[in-house]
Amino acid sequence: MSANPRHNGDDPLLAELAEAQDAARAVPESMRVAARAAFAWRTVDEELELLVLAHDSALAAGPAGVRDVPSDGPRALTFQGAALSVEIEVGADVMGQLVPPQPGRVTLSGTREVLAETAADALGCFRLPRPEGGPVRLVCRTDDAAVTTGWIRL
Amino acid sequence: MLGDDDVARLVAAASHGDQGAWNAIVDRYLPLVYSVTRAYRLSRSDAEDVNQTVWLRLVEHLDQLREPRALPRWILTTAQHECSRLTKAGRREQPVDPQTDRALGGAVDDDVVEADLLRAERQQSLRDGLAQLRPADRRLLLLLTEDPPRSYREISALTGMPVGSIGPTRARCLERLRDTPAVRALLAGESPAAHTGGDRDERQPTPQRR
Repeated sequence: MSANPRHNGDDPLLAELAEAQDAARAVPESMRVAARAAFAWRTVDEELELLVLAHDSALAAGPAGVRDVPSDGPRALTFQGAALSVEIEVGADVMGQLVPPQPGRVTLSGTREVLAETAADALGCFRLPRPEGGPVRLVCRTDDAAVTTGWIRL
Repeated sequence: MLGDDDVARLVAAASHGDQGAWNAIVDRYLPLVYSVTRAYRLSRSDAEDVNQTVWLRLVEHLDQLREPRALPRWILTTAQHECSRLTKAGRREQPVDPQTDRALGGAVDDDVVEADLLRAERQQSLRDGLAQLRPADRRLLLLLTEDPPRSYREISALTGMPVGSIGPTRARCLERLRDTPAVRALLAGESPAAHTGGDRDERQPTPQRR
């Protein structure tokens, strides 16, 4: 009846309960601090429209995760908004385009600082350095729209 | 300690700006995120990056979580996506053994990862189940799982329960733990980590204004 035979006996269940408590105690405090601090971003830049991640080639292979076949080529992402969308390809650099094509300013930000800023040309095209490691987001401003992607690691 | 309804209340309170409610959500599910990063054998700095990303994403999604009880699954799947992408990116840069098509050195064995992920889910369900017990039951089970283990005599002194009734009470507490919604869902195979969903479940057809 049980998916896990360890839950049928009292001693194995109690042992696994102890392991579950140990696992909770093993979490580094720095992670707790970072997780709690994330809440400070809740109301930052409320005037920006949050774009929806409509496509991520890194996730397109399937939700199972570990068994996915790595896809070749640069990772492609599409962030969709009501009036302005952003498409990027992440290779050695981040190559992107505002859709519909239009000029604007694009800012790449980490949680601590602005990492890079650039102009999108008349066709909406821009290039940014690829960030290392931590979560970032792209904030794009045009004459008509001000949008941000969600937090993402590129 | 919190039950399911409390999770729904916490999500509602956090989305109205209550930092205390957010901290309680973090305290409850942080071990799940950490266990997922351990399952994928991430380095400490990669694990920190994934952890921060998961919680920042949850802050963005708080207002859109239509079913707060799906929160553990959302957290688990989001963490898995981030970890598995890191692992895949790492593999591309690692030398691969042509015989086995596996990365040489430091390779993560998929079966080992899967087993560790299942363990992480089970442990979260047990912690959730523990939170859903009434306080007296929870206290006894916590005393019984301390490291180093306490003697029944010590537990008797701490709880006022006669030594002779600790064994039978332990059995009843464990039965009630099996009967909590969290552990029942686990035993029925409806673990928080059915390998679908995650933040894709929360994708909205139209953009949301924050």
